[in-house]
Amino acid sequence: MPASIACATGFLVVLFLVFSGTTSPPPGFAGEVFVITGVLLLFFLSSIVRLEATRPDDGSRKLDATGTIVTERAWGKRRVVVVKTAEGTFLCKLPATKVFREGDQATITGKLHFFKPRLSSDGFDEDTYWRTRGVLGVVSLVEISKCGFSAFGFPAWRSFLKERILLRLPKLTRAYVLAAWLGKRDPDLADLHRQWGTSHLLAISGLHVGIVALGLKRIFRRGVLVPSFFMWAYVMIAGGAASAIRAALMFQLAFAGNLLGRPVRAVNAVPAAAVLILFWRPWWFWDLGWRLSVVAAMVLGSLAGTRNNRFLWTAPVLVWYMTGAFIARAFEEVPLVGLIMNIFAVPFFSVFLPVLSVVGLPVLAGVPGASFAVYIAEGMLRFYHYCAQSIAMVIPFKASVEFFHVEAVAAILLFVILKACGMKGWRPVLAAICAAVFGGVLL
Amino acid sequence: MGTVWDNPKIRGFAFFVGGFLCLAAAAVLVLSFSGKWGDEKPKHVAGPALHFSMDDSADNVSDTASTETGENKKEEHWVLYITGAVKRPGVYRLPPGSRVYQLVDQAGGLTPEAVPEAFNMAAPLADGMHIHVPDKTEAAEPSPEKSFKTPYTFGSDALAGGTVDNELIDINRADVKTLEKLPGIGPKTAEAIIRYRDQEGPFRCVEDLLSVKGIGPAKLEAIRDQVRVSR
Repeated sequence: MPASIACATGFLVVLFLVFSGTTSPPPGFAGEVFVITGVLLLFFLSSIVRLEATRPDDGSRKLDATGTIVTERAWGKRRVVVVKTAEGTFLCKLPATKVFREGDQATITGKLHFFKPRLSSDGFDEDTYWRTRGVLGVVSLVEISKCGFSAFGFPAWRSFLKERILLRLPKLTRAYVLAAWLGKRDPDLADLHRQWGTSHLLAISGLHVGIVALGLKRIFRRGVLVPSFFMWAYVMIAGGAASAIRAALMFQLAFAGNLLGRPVRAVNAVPAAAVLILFWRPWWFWDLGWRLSVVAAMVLGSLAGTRNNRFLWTAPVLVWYMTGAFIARAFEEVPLVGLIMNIFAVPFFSVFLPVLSVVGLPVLAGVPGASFAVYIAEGMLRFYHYCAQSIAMVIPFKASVEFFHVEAVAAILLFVILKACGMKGWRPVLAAICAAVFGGVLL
Repeated sequence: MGTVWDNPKIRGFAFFVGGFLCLAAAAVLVLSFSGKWGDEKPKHVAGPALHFSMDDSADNVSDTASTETGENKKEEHWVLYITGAVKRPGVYRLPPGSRVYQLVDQAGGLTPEAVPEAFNMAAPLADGMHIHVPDKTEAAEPSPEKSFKTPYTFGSDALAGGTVDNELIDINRADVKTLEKLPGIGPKTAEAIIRYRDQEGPFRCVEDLLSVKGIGPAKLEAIRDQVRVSR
């Protein structure tokens, strides 16, 4: 689709959302519509221009550079490192035997390739995945060698914390703390949570950032700068995932709103945060984490934002169904047990993750005798795993992709948003039907 | 005297109709231009496969090999290695699409000790292959150790079905049941692989599996050592 047509389509959808939600135009309505649509049109244009920007040559040249390893992680049976150099940020795929730490200075000499374009609309798109993370291309290595360690910056902090967590905490505790603090998933734990339908608990999301932000706000009641600084420091140390940045932006808007005496509602903050992330890097739009995070937050924010919260009990079911539509497209099936597990797991970890962090801190700091509390927490985690595994054995069923309909997802999403905006009667129902039809046309 | 526009119900309805018309216009645009996302010619030429080598335990070897592959493609020939019961074992260059009998011809033909019925002379080749022609002793007593060390050896059952070559499954030829033998590949993913193959043409390298729905980096790495790509 040509860029101009894509922009026009986005513009018309925005107008639909504005007009379908308007019952009685307030004074200055035309001006507000002009500003909103104008800003969004500029956003569409800038996104499309950046997405379509051609890359130099055919994507293959020699690279000889020194930089800092900002990300190090497993990639199947291999490991990958992301190296930030003066020439850009590049990916290096390494055998599992090569060991580097985040924060290491490394010299790389090799051939730089851009990622291969995706051949079909399905499947994993390596180019989009890495470009959302700021990576320009992949270096097929001739040589990579460590030439120092950068003791300052988030990568160094991540390495320092990772080492302490791995060495000083017991198995389950360290896996959960690694996930909650650094966004690093233990493969065994990730497998278990995948079976239980609670993988989102291991990703840094609104739950984690919310716990940190609310905790900071309790400590620094009046200020905005200090809690904001620590909240963003946490997001950066945790790896800067889309869901974490989205949540942090929401809380930042809420902090600013409180300062200005204008409380921010989640139903407004979620789309604002989502658009800001896309403005930063439009490739996030195809990122599964961004999509799951925005949809789940939108549903939860809308249900919690209605004047009477009598439909709040539907939240776990709706979030499961709507995020399941995306998960099933990527992984073919979604465990049904997640529907039940999330009812218990989310409140449990909302309380338990801060507890785990509090009891883990003294152990990481080397306080003698502090490990006693950690072993109690480890026992509780084992008990939780036993219960979760038992429930998963009782409900081994999985919902396939046919169970999830994009039309239903579009309709439910718009319906809950319009209800949260205070709309009554036929309007939200009719708008939801329109969204369902449009969703069917689009996909 | 108030106009119709002053009636809040009518005004609200008019706004909704206006919104609906906008959405309808958006739907018309999508319908008119859908399917044209990929009509433009690709702006980037895909580089050589990074890890086409079957044995990619050492990255450097793989990368060097991939560079060579790019050069070979420009020169339009495959580099092949033949050993065993042929008159002149060694490395030969053949045009893409060649088969085993052509390589045997290049190597001066079979020796009297060769057992032609122990391997498939019509089997297709792929760039970088190593063909081992068994003699009478090897055909009678196949050595498992040897067959594992030479992944492209054509033993008595090698390429019999055109899919399994000493534990390596050819993703360009395997059927659903064969693909299901791979770890993490169920019937749906196996069908998706075949569907992709039918729609997009043969896989060019193992990494192309990432374009198949249901296969991500973790799954690819889990099966990488157990698959191969024939041309």
